[in-house]
Amino acid sequence: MYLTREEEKIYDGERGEALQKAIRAIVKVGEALGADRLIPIQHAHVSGISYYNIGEAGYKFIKYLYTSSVKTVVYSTLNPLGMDLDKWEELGINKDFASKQTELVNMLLGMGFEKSFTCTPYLLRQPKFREHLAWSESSAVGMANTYYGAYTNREAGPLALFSSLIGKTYNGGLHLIKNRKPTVKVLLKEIEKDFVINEGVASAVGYIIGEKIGDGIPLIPLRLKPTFDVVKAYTAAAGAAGSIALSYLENVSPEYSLYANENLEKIEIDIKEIKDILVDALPTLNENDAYFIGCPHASVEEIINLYNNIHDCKKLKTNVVVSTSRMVYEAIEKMGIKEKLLNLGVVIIRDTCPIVSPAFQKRFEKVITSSGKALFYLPKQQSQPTILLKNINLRDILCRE
Amino acid sequence: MQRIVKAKIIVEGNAESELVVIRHPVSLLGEFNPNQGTILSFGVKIVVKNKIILIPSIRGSTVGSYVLYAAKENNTAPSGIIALSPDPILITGAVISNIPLYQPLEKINLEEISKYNYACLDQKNSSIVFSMNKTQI
Repeated sequence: MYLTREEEKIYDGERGEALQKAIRAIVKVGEALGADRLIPIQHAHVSGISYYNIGEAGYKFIKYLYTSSVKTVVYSTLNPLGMDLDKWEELGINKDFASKQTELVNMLLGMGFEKSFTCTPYLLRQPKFREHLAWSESSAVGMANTYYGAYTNREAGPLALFSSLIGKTYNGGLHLIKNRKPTVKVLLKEIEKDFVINEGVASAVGYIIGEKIGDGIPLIPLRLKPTFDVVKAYTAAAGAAGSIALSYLENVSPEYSLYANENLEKIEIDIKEIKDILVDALPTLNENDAYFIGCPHASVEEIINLYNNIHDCKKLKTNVVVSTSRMVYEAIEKMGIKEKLLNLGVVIIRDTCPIVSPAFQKRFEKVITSSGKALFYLPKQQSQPTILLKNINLRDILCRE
Repeated sequence: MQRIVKAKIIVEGNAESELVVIRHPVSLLGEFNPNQGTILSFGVKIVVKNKIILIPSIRGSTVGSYVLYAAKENNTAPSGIIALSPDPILITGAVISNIPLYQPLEKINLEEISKYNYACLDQKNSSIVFSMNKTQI
């Protein structure tokens, strides 16, 4: 791989051992994937921040970098933690965990990371068309490539961290136009009208595509324009059930027209497949269950939608859990919605989510959600039975008569 | 009986150990237990501590690299990894954990390879030696 003189100095250890390790790992991954050089990035987004996920080994890894006094050199954000940084006690998090998680956060903030703690970094800084990023949150990678037309691989957590310190990534994988060609055309036919407006259906489609085409690049013709939250739900599910980092959705993806007429293998998703994983009928919920939104972290619009559905409920039938970012939390606070939701008994958690927090292990009898990513991870990570819901009648599902 | 396969060395190092062939893509987070040194693959628990594992590829979370690193710290990691399609998550995990990672340059049939009991990752000759009995690097 070609390295500039400055990169060579880092590679040879002239800028310290930690940066040497960082650049060597980036070069190693790049060489394995056929990259010819390193390229500058505009934004690094780093996963693997929850102490629950990375444990003592990850903690030591980050501590090594922190004590080496290395700093981020580009705009760099962090994924959700294992707890709400301020309200961890309310969540039932124990002191030892809280102390480790807080120390981990303080080290990362000391290294120059933004106090973001969200899996929706695109809501903090909108990626620009064709700009290069090093992001390691799979759902965000899907949004960056699919919705914004930015270029990022589905990076490993530690590698995105290294990229934040060097300001560069390898020029390989999805950073190269030749590797961004669609591999399969997915026809939605009768599902399309629900897909473009319903996050549950979009999640089911993403989940099925993820399972079917693994790490391919789907191209999906659409006559209508899907909502932002539909694209968010779709990309998250496709990146969880499979390794899909880029899709081309008509009327959404900026580069769709480049490939609209490609002759590709076709697959069709039919309504039967959707019905296999998506519950259409109203589930019976009680106080031991929960309805969950916020995987990926809920947007302002998703929370307003929830509020509009339940604001005149006398009482909720079941637990309602919302996970979101600090930024969105502050926005709904200013709008006065936060207080009203809390008064109804809705639990709003920031900085974290039920997938990466120890507070949500087997917490409910069942969880219903319109998130395909939650459907994939909650049973695996938290032994939490989870049902994917087509959320059309939220009021009927959640409000007590 | 032996089979020698030319390989691309992604993370340097030699290793020789019992061979474990896993037929399905592995999610490091959720399926690899770094305390026990085991992989749960479609309901079957497979011991991988100090073994050479052959896997088709990795799936799942981008945090997976840390799981491999945790296994190395706990002395439960495989002594070497052979991957048919290594991705950034696996390569990063192997780099930070210093676990030899080789990619075969010839087509490999997992069914056929699983009849061998041992594997040797031979850096000098850029090859993988599959054998019924222990050989010497």
